[in-house]
Amino acid sequence: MTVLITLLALIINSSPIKSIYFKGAEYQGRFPCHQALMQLHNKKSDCNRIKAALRIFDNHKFELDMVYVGDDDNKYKASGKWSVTKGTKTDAVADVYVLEFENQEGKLYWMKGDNNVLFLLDENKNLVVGDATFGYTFNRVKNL
Amino acid sequence: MSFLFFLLLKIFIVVPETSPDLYGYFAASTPCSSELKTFLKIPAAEKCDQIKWKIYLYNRPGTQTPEKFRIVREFIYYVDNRTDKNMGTATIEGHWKVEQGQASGKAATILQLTSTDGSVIRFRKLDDNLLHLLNNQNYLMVGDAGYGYTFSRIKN
Repeated sequence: MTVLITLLALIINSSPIKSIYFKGAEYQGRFPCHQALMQLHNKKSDCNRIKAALRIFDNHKFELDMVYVGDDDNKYKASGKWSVTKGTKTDAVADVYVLEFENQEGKLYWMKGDNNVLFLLDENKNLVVGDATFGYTFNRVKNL
Repeated sequence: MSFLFFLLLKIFIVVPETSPDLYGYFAASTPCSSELKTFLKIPAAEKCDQIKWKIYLYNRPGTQTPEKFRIVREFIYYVDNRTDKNMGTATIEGHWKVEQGQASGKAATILQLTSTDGSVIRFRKLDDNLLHLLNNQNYLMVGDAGYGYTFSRIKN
């Protein structure tokens, strides 16, 4: 019975059937107001913090919603395609999500801590350091 | 008179952030996971929505060898959408060490903190400036939409 269940799990994980059950994941986080995240929507003034939600889909598309709290508090939406590359400044084998936007300049890099936690990298692939309250960490909140 | 007072303060009070043996001061606000309560001396039945941490890691004096740590924590209860209540502050002390281990199934540098009562928490060292808390199964702890479990080095 155990062998059968294991075999079934392997088949589901390695076949298109998987997409019936899992189409992607949503991550959320609150961050200090980092320049790279401000520039994305041409924000020049400061803000208190950023509320963000990132949805990554199996078809290599993503959606990124951001609210600049303390600025105009509007929700800004962006989307594009994601890919995976290897390596940060301190971890040569780390998986890194590269987000390329459809209608905006620039890219965002997120180091995959594991399936549930992502960490923001700067353009030189250094991890971005937060403050005493917020880091630059996305937490997986649900499957899509 | 006030100058003299502040001078005496500077001479006689060792500020933890400025100790020459301080390896690092890290801070974060995290959700209040039940598996942290024992280590942080938070009564299991207490209402707790958020924890504010200050972690001071010290080396053995005159060396680069990890020795003692001090954590100052507050835990917060959200009374309503606009009101947070500080439910108490405490200090936890003990020893820390660095070792090679596993985090989320991959090789990683781990910081292990053992309190004076024998409770243990572990962090994955992401780099010199960032630590991320591990759960009891040595996986990265997952936060929520508001707060995560990443600790940032706070520089003076």
